[in-house]
Amino acid sequence: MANLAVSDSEKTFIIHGVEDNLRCDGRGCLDYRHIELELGAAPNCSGSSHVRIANTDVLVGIKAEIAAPDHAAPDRGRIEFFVDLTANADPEFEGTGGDELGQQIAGALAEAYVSKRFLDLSSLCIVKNQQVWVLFVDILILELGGSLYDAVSIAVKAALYDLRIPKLTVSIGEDGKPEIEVSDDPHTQEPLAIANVPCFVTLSKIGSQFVVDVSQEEAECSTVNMCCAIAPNGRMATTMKTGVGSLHPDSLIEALQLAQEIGVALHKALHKQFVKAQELSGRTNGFLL
Amino acid sequence: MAEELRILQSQAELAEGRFQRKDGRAFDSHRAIEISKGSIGTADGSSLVRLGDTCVVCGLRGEIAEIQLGESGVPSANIGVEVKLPFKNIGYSNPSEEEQALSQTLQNILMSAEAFQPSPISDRFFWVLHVTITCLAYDGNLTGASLAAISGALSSLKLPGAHHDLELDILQVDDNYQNVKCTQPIGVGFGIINDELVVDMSNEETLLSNGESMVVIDEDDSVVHLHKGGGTSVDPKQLQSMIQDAKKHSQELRKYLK
Amino acid sequence: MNLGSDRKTRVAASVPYQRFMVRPREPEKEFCKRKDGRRDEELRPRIFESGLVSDASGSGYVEQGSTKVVAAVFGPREVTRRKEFSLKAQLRCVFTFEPFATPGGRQENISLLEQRYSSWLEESLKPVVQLRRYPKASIDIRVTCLENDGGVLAAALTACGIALATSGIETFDLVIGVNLRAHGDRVLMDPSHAEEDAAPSREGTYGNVTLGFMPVLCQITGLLQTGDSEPATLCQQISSLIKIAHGVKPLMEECLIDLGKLQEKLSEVQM
Repeated sequence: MANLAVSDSEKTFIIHGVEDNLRCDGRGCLDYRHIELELGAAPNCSGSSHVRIANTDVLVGIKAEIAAPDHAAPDRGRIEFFVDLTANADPEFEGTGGDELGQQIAGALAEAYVSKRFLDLSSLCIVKNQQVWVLFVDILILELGGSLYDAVSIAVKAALYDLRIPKLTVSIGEDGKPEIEVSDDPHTQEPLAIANVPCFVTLSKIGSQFVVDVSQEEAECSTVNMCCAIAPNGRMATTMKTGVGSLHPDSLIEALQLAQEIGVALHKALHKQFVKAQELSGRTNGFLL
Repeated sequence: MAEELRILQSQAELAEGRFQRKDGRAFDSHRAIEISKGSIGTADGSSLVRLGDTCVVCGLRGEIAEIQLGESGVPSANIGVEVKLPFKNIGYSNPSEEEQALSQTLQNILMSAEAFQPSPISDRFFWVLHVTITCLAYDGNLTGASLAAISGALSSLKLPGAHHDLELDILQVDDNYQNVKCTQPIGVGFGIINDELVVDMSNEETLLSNGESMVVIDEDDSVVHLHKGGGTSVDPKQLQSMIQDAKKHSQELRKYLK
Repeated sequence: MNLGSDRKTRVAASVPYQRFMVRPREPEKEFCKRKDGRRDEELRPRIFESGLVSDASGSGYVEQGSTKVVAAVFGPREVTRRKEFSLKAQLRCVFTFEPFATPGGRQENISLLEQRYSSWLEESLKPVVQLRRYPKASIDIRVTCLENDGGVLAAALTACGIALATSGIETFDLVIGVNLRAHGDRVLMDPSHAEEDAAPSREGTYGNVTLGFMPVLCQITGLLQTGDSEPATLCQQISSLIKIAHGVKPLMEECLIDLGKLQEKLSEVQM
């Protein structure tokens, strides 16, 4: 990842601050920064969102397309993630420079969304074995300001909340093959059930403390992160250790419990804001509709 | 460093006209070969060959291809070869030149030997064999070791039955795995050092010699591939003895393969 | 026909025959006994070897049941490009599946999985190596999976551990990879590929957990959990995995001692 040059004395300052539960921007160890959330940021997508956490800026657009299903799962839709790190975020990402990190994030998201307990894609099936909805989730990272996994997963969840899929009617045609008709009435568009969709909570270890939502300067002080995908009901879809450090089993246990508590609280707050943001975006009560 | 010095020393000895093989072998003696067949369960056929310190793994996969419009009958190109040297030339883009060259050579040899002769599926579908060679340890004569590994893998190759229902136009594969008709080409590598014919060279000897030559013999004792590389000229008599030696050795090896 | 020589040798595009296999869909039954007759906490036989790859500074081979993984360490080598200068050594890890390694034929999206495995291994190995000892150097690790029958990631990490130990590169400790499959109330140690890929249990926890562990320092270097779990359950599973890792450690040490003895003999011969 793009690195920031932080001097040793700056690092010591941050680490000492964290020990006293006071961070450079006045937060405690387990506080998030302000999250700015906008739904429907890209109107020509089926669902989109724009999330900003301090300097971290993420834009997500979802396109829903009809395609053939996977061999392994003929009766379910698909969701695919593409992460694009723009050269705006860091000059290092120019060209193919951001591909590795992008694929890591995309892989982690796919892992978190794979189970039908968290995201049931069977409602996206149109005709079994033949046609399903495929959700292409394009994630654009405009600016880096730390805690990338968290920001991306919040943005993806928001975009899924915003997602409207046109209603389809399937009839058997004269030749015995199913025919698909897309309804053009915007009132009948369907939302996706996202009640159980997980979000990533990343806990970074600075000194002997776990810290949530680190800024880039703080990220330089930590060597090990626990990245947990927590669902609103507190269950974990995937957990991984990232970063170059290692940790003791006892601190791992501490981190997992913290992540669960924080995750549940985050989801509650997010849901409230989703409802508000949707009212503002005017998607449900727009002009003449 | 030690290795480089050793080669320098050997080169100096060579310049004085003294040349001896480091492992004490005679010029026409082969290194001991070890073949274990069918050890990889996920492959349709597999083998591991150790030739001295050279160690090669070969895995086979059967796949099904469709005959394209405008082609008459099953194309002769039904074997694809991919050579991987994952533990050599680190940092180069894949596949490296060396890998490509060896892949192409092996593919040409296998195709001219008609190594893979499955029964055709139907007028539209045919079997294709994908050969993957992975070199774990390299100490000379990679082509010879690879061919031995391919032959070992081919003799353990088992493919399921495939049936093409013409009326319903459905292709079905059952789980009745059967041996497939294959011929096994055996390759013998030579080099010329100090006008002497040296067989089955190690890595050090390859560096000392002027290029490698290769004779490949099929099951009927006929030559399917002959290649002379390098900058020295070869006496026709030497060429004759190369072929004789290759025939003799391939018979021995074939016994071992069974 | 066949004008260019290229056309003659180019192999037609083909698909794995497994696509056309008709498998009777088995009803999702709870597996009560493991296919190979093991107890839930029983491991498959393991074979550890070292010194297989000739060109490497160190190499390791791990067989875990029929899963086979080779790892080789190259370096430390000098980094020549000035841009890449750093006070710590750069550790790179590349993981590949052989095309014949995966059950069910070649898979199309395998390169994505390979990349994920590569970066996971890289992050799990960085805490093990004393990177500060090798400024301006790069260390490359190549891992190749010859056969996948479950636990590839764990086997790969163990193989890297052996390779690092035999390479002479300074490390903090050995590293051991262990994994399990959770299925409802049951915890299957060292699962096979079929068990790893099995349908989720109807309720409760399920999923795969892979752990990288340094036994002497008692540090977790890598963790990957997938499926559906809870912090409390995961913590229990991790502590049982740590126990398993301690059990595997003597086997690994034995392999290293064997290599040491062999090298001693060799040097005597050369003297």
